[in-house]
Formats: sequence, structure tokens, C-alpha cells
Amino acid sequence: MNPERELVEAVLRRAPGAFERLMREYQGLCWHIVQRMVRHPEDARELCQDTFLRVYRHLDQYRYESPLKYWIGRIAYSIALRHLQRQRTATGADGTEADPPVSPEDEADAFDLEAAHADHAAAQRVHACLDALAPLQRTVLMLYHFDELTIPEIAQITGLAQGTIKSHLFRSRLRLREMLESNARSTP
Amino acid sequence: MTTEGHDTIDDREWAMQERACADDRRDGVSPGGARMARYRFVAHCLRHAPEPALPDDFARMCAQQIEAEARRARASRASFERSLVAASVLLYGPAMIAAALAFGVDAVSMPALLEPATRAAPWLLALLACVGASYGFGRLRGWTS
Repeated sequence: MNPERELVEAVLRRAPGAFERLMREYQGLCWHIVQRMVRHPEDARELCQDTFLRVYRHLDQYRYESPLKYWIGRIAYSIALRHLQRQRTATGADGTEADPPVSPEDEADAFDLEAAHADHAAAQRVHACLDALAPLQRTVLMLYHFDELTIPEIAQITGLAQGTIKSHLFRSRLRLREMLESNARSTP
Repeated sequence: MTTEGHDTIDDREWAMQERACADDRRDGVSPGGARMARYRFVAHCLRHAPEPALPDDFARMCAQQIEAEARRARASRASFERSLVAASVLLYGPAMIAAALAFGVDAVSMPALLEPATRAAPWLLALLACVGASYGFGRLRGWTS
């Protein structure tokens, strides 16, 4: 029996410590998804608790059709999304944010990667721009780059089409790159 | 160009973004000039973005809370079921005694009580078969999953 199935059955049997082990295994992904969506640590902690409460109550409905982390991730995403909808926060899924125009490639720009790496301010600008992205775009971007999930895996968690996820990744990364470019031009 | 939903994705730009991501993960440097370098920097920043962390004891505290709540809910349900059983005994017990006193002991004997049930025997058998099948399939699914 695989370790995931053993853990699920231990939780269903109410084996002591089994649910805490499950939480330790999957709390990171849950936290990453929820925290990036709602951006408020207190709310995010409560929503994580709500997620695992739902996992505990409905674990008997898990059918092993996909890895458990996607099942739990999907619950976390749904709970975070519902929280945002209740707060009437735009998630960016309707594409109401206007994209900045794509600038032509500029091979002559003297962008020094090593200097940028050493440039803490540039990194802070990227992170600030990341924070300014719509919750859905930010979450997709971080699941891809920080958690190193694939597009199909992100699709399983969010329920979005793979094409939509690819579109969010493309537009977000384009925006961040153009922000760096415009900052490089405006810096004397 | 690729169209995804309502968006048009520049395949060359996408390929550059993906190469930059791969470069960052393996510390590589693919050619592509300043634009490529910027994408690598973006990928690097995303991979090392500062993220607030959960408290160390989150899993322990949350699991304790959830399991305690579940135990309380089970105890409450068990208490409710016991109350229902007690109410049934309090209701039907005196009713059986009253019927025995009014109509004689034979009226409340097992054959007399089962007599209407024997007329509905086929339906009762069908009901028992359905309940048994549901239980059996549930157990079978538990063994095979």
C-alpha cells in the first residue's frame, strides 16, 4: 500500500496523530495557495484551518483518482476564492486589467544581470509588482515558479483550463519583465 | 502565435520565458540578450520571493482543535440517539403493557405482532435485500479501494 493511502486510511481509522501528520505534509501547499490569494496572514491562517476542517470531514469522499495534494489544494483554492468573492475582490480572471503594450526587443539596453542580482532594490520592485498582481495571476505564478508545479498540476488544483493558466503566466511574466525594463530606462 | 482563450501568446516570447525559468533552476545562461536576462532575473525573484510562514505548531494546534470538535459532535450525536431510543422505550413500553391489559397477552405476542408483517413479507424481503446490498457493496468498496 502506498504511503499516501496508508495515511488517509489511518486518518479515517482515527489513528492517534494521523491527522496531524497529514496536516504537516500538506499545510505548506495549502498555505501557499491561500496566502497568495488573500494576502492577509490572519485571514489566511483561518482559511487554512477551514480547509483542513473540510478535509477532515470529507476525507471519506476522496477516491484516489488524483494525488491527495491536488485534492487538498483544490479545497484550499476554492475556500480562498470564495473568501475573495465574498469580499468582492477582483481576481483578475475576467481580464479587466489592461495589459501594458509590448515593447520592441532592445538588444542595445545595457542590462547587467549580475548588477541586478546584487541590486536588492530591483528585487524589491519585482516583489512589489508581484503583490500588485491580481490574486489569481499571483497564485498561478508562484505555484509555477516557487512551488515548481507544472501547468497540468496547477490546472488540477484551480480547476482552470491549461490554456488559461498559460495565459496568466505569460501575461504576468511579461508585465514583470517590462517593469524592470521601464525602471532601467528611467534610472540615470 | 498561439491563441489561448481570448489571449494571443507570442510563442517566441513564451519560449524565452520558459528558457529563463529553466536557466534559473539549473543556474544556466541561455543566449537572448537583455530581454532574456530580465526574464531570468524575474524567475529568480519569483523563486526566492519572501513568503510569510505558518506558525511552527499550526498543524498540532489545528489538528487538536478539529479532532476535539469532531469528538464533541460524535458524542452529541450518540447522546441524541440514546435519547431517541429511551423515548421509544418509554413510549412503546407502556403502550405494549396497556395493549396487553386491554386485549390480553396473546394480542401482543410475537405471532400477532408479525401477522400484518407477513402480508407485506415480499416488500419487507425486498427492503432487507436492498439494505443488505448497500451495506455489502460499501464493505466491498472499502476492501478493494
